[in-house]
Amino acid sequence: MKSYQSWGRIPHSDPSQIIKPLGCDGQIAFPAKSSVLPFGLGRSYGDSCINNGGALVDTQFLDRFIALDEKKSLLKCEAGISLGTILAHIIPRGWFLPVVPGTMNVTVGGAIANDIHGKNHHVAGSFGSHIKQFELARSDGERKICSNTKNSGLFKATIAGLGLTGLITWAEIKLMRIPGTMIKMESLKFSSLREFSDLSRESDRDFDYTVAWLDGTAGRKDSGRGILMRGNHCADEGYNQWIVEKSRLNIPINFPSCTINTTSMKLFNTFYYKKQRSQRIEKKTGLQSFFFPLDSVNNWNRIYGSQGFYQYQCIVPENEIEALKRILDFVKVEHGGSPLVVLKRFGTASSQGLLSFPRPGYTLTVDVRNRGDSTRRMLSFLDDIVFDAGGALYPAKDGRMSPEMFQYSFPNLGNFKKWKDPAFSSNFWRRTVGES
Amino acid sequence: MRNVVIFGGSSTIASYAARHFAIDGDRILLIGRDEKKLQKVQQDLLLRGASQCETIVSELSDTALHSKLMSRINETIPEMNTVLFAYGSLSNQKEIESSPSRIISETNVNYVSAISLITQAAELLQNNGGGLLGAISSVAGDRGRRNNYIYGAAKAGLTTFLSGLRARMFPFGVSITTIKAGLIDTAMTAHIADKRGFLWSEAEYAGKKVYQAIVKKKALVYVPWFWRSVMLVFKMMPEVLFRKIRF
Repeated sequence: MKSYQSWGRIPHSDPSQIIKPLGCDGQIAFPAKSSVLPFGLGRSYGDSCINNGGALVDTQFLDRFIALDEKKSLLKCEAGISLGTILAHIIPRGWFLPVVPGTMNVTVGGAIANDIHGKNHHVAGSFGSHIKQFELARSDGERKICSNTKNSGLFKATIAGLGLTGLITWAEIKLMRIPGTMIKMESLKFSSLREFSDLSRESDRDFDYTVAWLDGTAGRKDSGRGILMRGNHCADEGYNQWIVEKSRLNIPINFPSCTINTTSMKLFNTFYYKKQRSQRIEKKTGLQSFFFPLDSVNNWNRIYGSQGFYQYQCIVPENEIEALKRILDFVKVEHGGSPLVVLKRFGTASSQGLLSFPRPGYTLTVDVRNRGDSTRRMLSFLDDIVFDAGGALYPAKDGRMSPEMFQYSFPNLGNFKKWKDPAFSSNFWRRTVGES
Repeated sequence: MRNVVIFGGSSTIASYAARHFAIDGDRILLIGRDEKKLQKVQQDLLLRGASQCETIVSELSDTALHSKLMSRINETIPEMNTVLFAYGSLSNQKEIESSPSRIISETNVNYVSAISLITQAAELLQNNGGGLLGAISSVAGDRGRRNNYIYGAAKAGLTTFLSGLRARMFPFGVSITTIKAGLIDTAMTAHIADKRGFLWSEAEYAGKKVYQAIVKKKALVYVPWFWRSVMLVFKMMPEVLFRKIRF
């Protein structure tokens, strides 16, 4: 029936047991003899949602709405519900989620456990900042209601806690009012990272949402060229324009691993950059196409083939933007380039979680096909560049960072260990921290 | 707008089917024996768009309570025009097959109480000038399997009952839909640990199919569709061979 793979499909997921609670109430049958890890919709790229040899808690049935307080803009819902389902029901009422990632197919629990961020980080911070409270089920049978004022240590550990502090059963999210279902947006071409840096600083002042697509296959002289997209919510004909469009395309099987190669990557990226003929385009677009373009192709991860792929997401401080150029050039030389590169400037809002990834600086996301050891070696070299620049890596995307890199990226790791539930574990945790 | 009554309102498939009625803005009445579970479904449906959602707590297997229950339903939703029967019990057969009282009890839940309520509900729809009635039966009813013949027999009876009722009600604009569910991952099958393989289906999918079958006034559907072929093969096997099957 269902396979509990991560999005990058490395490593292969092989849980010993699946526990599927039917609702929030009642005893959750955590296993006595093996470790356990919550599993939502499997959109983590690496191994933070994998628990080989141990049990997974499938949150599929924890998908109910509980209450909507229109006056306080608070939505209470079970943690297995997807952001897409929430949006489908709140947009017609004039609400939006304060932070959305690149896909709507993540659960509320997953969004909290990774303290996800979006194109508006410079304005709104990360997801955890908009959570009023949640209930955490621990392996000893205890239920803890956590917020900034109650069990706040556990609250801050669970946000970005990778599901290792317990199972989030329900959460209360602060919603945001929107004037309509369109985004007024602009696309601007730039030809270097320096230009991007100026553009993005300027854009962040006037636009709530900004993100840049970069040409991951550009040669030395074109290196750092891309398109910046920036937008704001705008009023339009009415809220009922939001229709969650059924994905028209589905990738039914794994493509052959040679599908993504130097030539095809170059072709796609060059086409995408050249497709926009003028330097600046203004237009109005719908919420779904602005926020979730990849969701229109189901199972797009299969394009990478059965070997799977890695997504490398790092952050470097603002004054270290040259480090990103070194990363891009290195990937081009060693790997032929990357088919998809995204770049964004994070704001100064502080993140709530002990292991939260977002912090001031530039975050670069690079997709690379899995070619085995050579790919992992290349990514380790990238780690060195990020390390030297004083940056960090994002666990939600990671399947291979070293224990040293994890500790370096998250100075609060020692503090986090105090809050971790002893029965909860993941491949990621065992790999980076070494304990079970 | 539909006025929907769901017997077994907190059952997994019913709560997924109900979401589709809620999105349509229908009014929904949920009936079951666990008040807390019903309320959770109720809150969810209201947020998904149900124009109204109420609950009635009642032990559906108790036939003595049925006529009072039907009066209460009629008072609460006088213009009932859509009904879904989605309650049942799937015991581990090995535990009950040697106990006549437990066999009777299981059959009472799955067949006897069901036909009593279905009759009254269908006649109520008839009085209201027509409507839609759907009941979830099972592929287990297509043939009595060694490990599931008690449940299967009850569902076989239910399927046959619905078939006749369908013909009886047809002239009055009451459509009777039989939904034969295959192996679905729900609260009812939670005690079955191994759910690997393509034969197992998601409750969310089943719920959608139940809703579609009812509103499209289908007579008989298999959920998922391929069970029709699977059961065809199953039914064709000669009994002298079938009796050797251990599962």
